This record gives sequence, C-alpha cells and structure tokens, in this order.
Amino acid sequence: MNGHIVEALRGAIGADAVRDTTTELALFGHDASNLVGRAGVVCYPISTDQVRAIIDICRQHSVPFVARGSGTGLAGGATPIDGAVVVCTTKMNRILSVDVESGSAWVEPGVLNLDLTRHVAEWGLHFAPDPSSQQSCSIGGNVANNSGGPHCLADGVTSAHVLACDVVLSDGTEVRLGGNDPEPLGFDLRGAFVGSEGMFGIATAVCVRLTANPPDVRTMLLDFTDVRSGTDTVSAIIAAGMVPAALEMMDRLCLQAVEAYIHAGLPTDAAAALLVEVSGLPAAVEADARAIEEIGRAHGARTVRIARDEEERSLLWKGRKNAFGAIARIKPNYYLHDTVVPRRHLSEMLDRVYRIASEQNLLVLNVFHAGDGNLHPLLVFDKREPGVLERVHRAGAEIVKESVALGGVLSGEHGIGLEKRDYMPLMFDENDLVAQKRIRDAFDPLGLANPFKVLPSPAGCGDAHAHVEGLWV
Amino acid sequence: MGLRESNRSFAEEIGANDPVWIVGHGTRTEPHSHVRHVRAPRGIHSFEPDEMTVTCGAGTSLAELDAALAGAGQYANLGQLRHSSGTVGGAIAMACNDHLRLGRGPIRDSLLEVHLVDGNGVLAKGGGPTVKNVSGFDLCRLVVGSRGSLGAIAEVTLRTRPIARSLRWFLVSNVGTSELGAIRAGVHRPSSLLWDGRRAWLCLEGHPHDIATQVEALRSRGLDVTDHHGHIGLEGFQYRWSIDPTDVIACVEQHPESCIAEVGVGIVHHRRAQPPRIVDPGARAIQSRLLDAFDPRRRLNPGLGDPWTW
Repeated sequence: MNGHIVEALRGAIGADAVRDTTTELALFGHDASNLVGRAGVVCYPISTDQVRAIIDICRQHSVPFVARGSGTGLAGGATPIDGAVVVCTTKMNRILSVDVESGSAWVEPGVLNLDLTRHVAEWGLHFAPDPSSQQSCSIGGNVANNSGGPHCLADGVTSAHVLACDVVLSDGTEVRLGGNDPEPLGFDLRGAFVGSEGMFGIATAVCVRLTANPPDVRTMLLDFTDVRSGTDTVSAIIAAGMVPAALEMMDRLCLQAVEAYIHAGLPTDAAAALLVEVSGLPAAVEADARAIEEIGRAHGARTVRIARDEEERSLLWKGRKNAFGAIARIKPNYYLHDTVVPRRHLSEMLDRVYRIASEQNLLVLNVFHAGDGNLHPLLVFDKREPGVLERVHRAGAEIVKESVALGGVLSGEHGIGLEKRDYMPLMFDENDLVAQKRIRDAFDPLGLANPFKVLPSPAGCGDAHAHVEGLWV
Repeated sequence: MGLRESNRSFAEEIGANDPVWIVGHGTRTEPHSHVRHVRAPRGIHSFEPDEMTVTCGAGTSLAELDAALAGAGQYANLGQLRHSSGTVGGAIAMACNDHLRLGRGPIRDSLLEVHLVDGNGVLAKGGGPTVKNVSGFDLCRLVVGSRGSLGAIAEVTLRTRPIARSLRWFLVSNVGTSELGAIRAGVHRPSSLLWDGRRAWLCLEGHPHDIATQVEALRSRGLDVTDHHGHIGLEGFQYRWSIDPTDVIACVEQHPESCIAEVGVGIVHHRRAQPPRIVDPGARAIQSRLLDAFDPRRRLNPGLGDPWTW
C-alpha cells in the first residue's frame, strides 16, 4: 500500500486504528471462505465521521475499499482484491437505541447478531435472522449478505427485518435509506441496499425490526430410513398449510458426526432426520405439532422425538448449529456450499449431490434448511492430499449447475461474492446483468465499494477483473 | 401463447420510442390519456402449493389470482383489504399496503422474481423463483412501489402464504393510551390494531382457540371487547400519513376525531394532508440516477414526477 495513503489514513482516524503488519494483512486477506486476496491496509473506524474520512481518502487516491464485519462470510464477499483498503467495523459495536414500543433498534454495524438478541431478550424480543454463525457474525454483515438462518422460514430473511440504514457512499455522501416510518418516499433504496454485498457503500448504522418471542415452542426430531421420505415430508408439511418456524434436515453422515461431537442421542442409523420447530400460541402449536407428527409418520418417520424442555431443545439446536464444527472429526478441511432448489426437487438434488461427490471421490455431508429448499452440501477433505482441491472445485461447480438446472438459484444466504460471480450467467442473461449493473452504478458511480464481486464481466466491466488466489467453486 | 412469449410481445409493444402508459384496471391510478396505452400479459403461469409460489402475468386480475390461490388455502399479500380489484402488476407497482400489514408484512416482501421492460424496450429479469434467494442485486425491492417508472412489469413470481384457520375482527370501546397498552401487551402478533383515540379495532388470525383465549384475557382486564363484523370506514380519511410508529399515539391525541392510526406500523389515515416530509438529498440523487439508467427519456408512465414527491 502506498505509504502516503497509510499516513493519510492514520492522520484521519489515528495511528492505532490503521494496521498494516504482515500478520494483520494476511488475516484480513480473506473472509471465512477459501478465497484469498490481498489487503492493502486495515482500518478500524469507530464512527460515521471516520468511515467517511477513510472513504474520502480512498476516493482521492482512487483506491477501492472493502467493508468487513466479523469476516464470517462464505462467498469471498469481504475478500479484498489488489490491495484494497479494508474497513473493519468491529469497533462500531454499540446498540444505539431500543424502542420496545415500536419493536425496533438502531445499532452500529459491528454489533454481533446474538448480542443484539441477548440485549433485547429482557423485553421479550429477538432479532429474527439467525445464521449458524450468529454468535460471531455482525449485523452489518447480515445486511450486506441479506442473511438467513434456520428461523427465517416463517419470518423471512434480513431484508424483512431492516427498516433503515445510514450509509456512506463512495462519493462521501451520507445518506439514510429507508426510515423508521413504514413508507418512506420514493424507491425502496433500503431494500436494494440489503444484500448488496458491500458494493453500494458502507452502512454505519442500521435500524432493525425486532420480533416478539413466541409464547410457546415445540421442537421435534423426526428420523427416516431414506432421504426421500424426509424431503417428501417437508413438501407435505408446507402443502398442508403450515409454515413451521424452522424445518431443517441432516443426513446420515452429518448425524453421525454431530452425535460424536455433542452426544444428543441423535439417530445415527437413520438416513436423514428432520428438525422441526413450531412456535406461536399454544393451540396452534399443539395442532401443528400433531399434524406434523401425523404427516411424518404417514411418510415413514421411524421415530418422532419431541423436546421435553428447553435443555433438550437447546441440545437439538446445538447439534444443528454446530454441525460445521463437528465435521473436523472426519477431515480437517471443508467447503460449504449454498444453493436453493424448489422444495419438490430436494430429493432429486440430494441424489445428484451424492453422485457428484462420489464421482469426485469426496465425502459429502448435508445439513440444510429443507423448509425453503436451501441446500448446504458440505464437502470434507484434507487439503494436503494431492489433487483434492481440484476435485472439490469440480464437485462444487457441478452442484451449482445442477441446482440451477432444477429451477433453483445460485445462493440462498451466502451471497455471490467472488465465489459465484462467474456463475451469474447461469441464472441471468446479459440484459439481466446490465440491469443489476445499473443499480450498482446508481449507488456507487465511482466503482470503489468492494469492486470485482457479484457481477461477472462484461456486466461488471467497470471493475477490471483481477485474478484471485484460492479455491473457486 | 406462453408467458415468456407474451413478455417478448409486451416488450415489442412498448418499443423504444414514444411515451407509453401501462394500463391495468385503473383502480389505483387514472391512466394518462395523451399517450399510448399498453396492457401487461395476463394469466397464471404456474402455482405450486407445496412451494408456496405463484407465477403470473402482471396483467392478471387480483380476483383471478385470489381465487386460484384460495383453492389451495393460500393467498398472496398484495394489500387486497385496501384494493381487492385491479391487477397484480398494479398492486406491486403502487405498493398500496393494507391495514393487515402489522401481521402480514408489507407487499414488498411478496415479490420473488420480476420480469420488466425498461425505457429502451429491453426485457430484463431480477430476483429468482424460489422463496429464498440472494443471487445478485435486489431489483425486486426497487420495482415494488416504483409506479412502473423503472420498467413496465411483465411477469412476477410471488410468495404465497397459508390462509389462517380463523380471522376475526374485534371492536374495543373506551380505549385510551393505557387501554391501548393493555391490548398490545395482551395479544401476540396481531394482524392489525387500529385506534382513533377512543376505539380500537383488533384483527387476530390463527387458531380459533388462541383467538378466543386472547380475547377472554383482554376482557378479564376490563376491556370492552366485542366482535366486529362491519366496516371500519377508513375511506373517510383520504390522506395517508407515514410516521415513526413511536409517534402514533401523540399524532392521534393531537388530532382527535381526525384520524385512525395503524398502531405498531406508523400509518395514520387522516382527514388532513401530512406535512411535507424531508427527503434525504443523497437518496434523491440515487433515485435520479436509477431513473436515468432505466428510463432516461422518462417515457414509461410519463408525468409521474419525481419519486420522492409521490
């Protein structure tokens, strides 16, 4: 990084808040994906003024910037390219206000997802999006990726829970997108910003909608001797007019890995298990739970385990949310994919995933949001094994292509980032991509905010595509 | 003709030259009489109850859509309580949310995928056909409420929802601020709570037993709750204010007899126009750039004015 720029940044936000040691640059050269880029310098602003000052300096020197929260993204969205300035928002972590009456809160982007929910628990509220990384991911990252999570089936993903964002654009403009009021004038710029993967500007404050905790919750585990029975149960539940709070599936290998890790008494001999949660008022919970049990048994559920108390419920959810940690017992490395298919194609898609993994001589575990068709095939491997990365690469590409071929989409919650940028033409033609480029340009005409992501060439031709080291899908 | 063929014909009809007005049923706006009128494709292309999605032409009538979905016990949230007629495209373009928004959410969350024709006559798609999707930038959110100014909506895929086991309206009499607080504390995620300073109208959806239990609990707190089967009469309040939900109580108290507020939402149905709202100049600039990019000659639904003046 040009020394003048580093000095200018230090002058603007303080020497301690601007880091460029080899170790730090290496750490910030990637997010939680396997895609490695190159950070020029890392800045830790503590205020909107400091974010604007950083962006002003970037603009003056025509250097791109990349906003980063906790770095838990899985698509390379926060991977800096060609020495970009990394703007790390972890020190902007204050909950600015909570309005219990209206069920909303203003927070800084570095506030952790679970910290927010814990903070508002005393008022019987929570922040509905709950990615598996919720203990460590930030609200700013959730906004950038329009994050989901198991409990988004009924209540929607992040976009449905963000009322407004205060944003600094690449031209230095500070703008409020959306508002506390329900119908701000003009286009829904808030909605466009959520999920823009840091390419429209940097959010410095977010107004989130808080959701009332349900009075009653029932958590159930149904296990099946074949995967198709499980996926058919999912479709049957939805077709029966129920939208459970969560509807998750784990396959056999995943159940075995998780059970060895948390000892929850999971059915390790089952082909698949469904973790279903219904919540709301007591009569509806009781009726839905009974109907789901009947549907499950009609589709061959071997056992239906109902969590007896909060401790057992937490244990079941611990298994689901810690599945990615459990696989370390199988292989030291994993590549987690994220695609969506229509629910009716879940079984067929899983067959294809198993076939693809087998053809590439790879192990695959499946743990995913079955209720909304959001697959998360988890390819496990040991990267020290010669040629394995290429096989993982090929398997990932096939999984993405097969998902789209079945009428699905590229990503349900991880985003496009670098990982799937060049697969965008599978879903979108040139005109579609031009339309997306127009939106990006309207927010960031200078193209300085997190360039090279999401839009492939030629739609993203304003961003000269740099080569990125690392593992592509 | 298939829907995709219809979309192409629609794009050709819009063309790239003269101003055009996209005509639905005229229930939400008066069509501009001095420009060429074009109608969007009609018909339900696919409805998959176990996907909870429906794909249809934007010119499809809400009545046709509602009937098709109701057959499978579902609905699409397009503000039908406010406008039960008109077209799907009109409902999305105008984003006329109804007073069930508190429970059902805004119309903008219903749109999963959109095909539209921009000001150059080019057909483009945004979003995706599945209930969950973060592939690319969110054109859908921009289209909802855009009044057709960014593109003429040809086809949409919508999220559907199950129709609740039961929906009941209740009238609560003699409701001051403390009673209003008691109502809010006593019900879980109501679908609507309207208040005019003296009376409250409460809509509960869900299991009949849960509804009855909640109402009995309200009565046990001394609230005068009766079933409400009639009309609420919001049309007497011709203006629609959008304010911070926190300010709703103060607004109603300042304007007794003049308004009915959607508590928890921030919409106030008023007899007087809302004082001018401040629009962020940065947001105005972004909106201008969007219009310049999608319809540089402002030939789609001309004469609408700037979006922030709507």
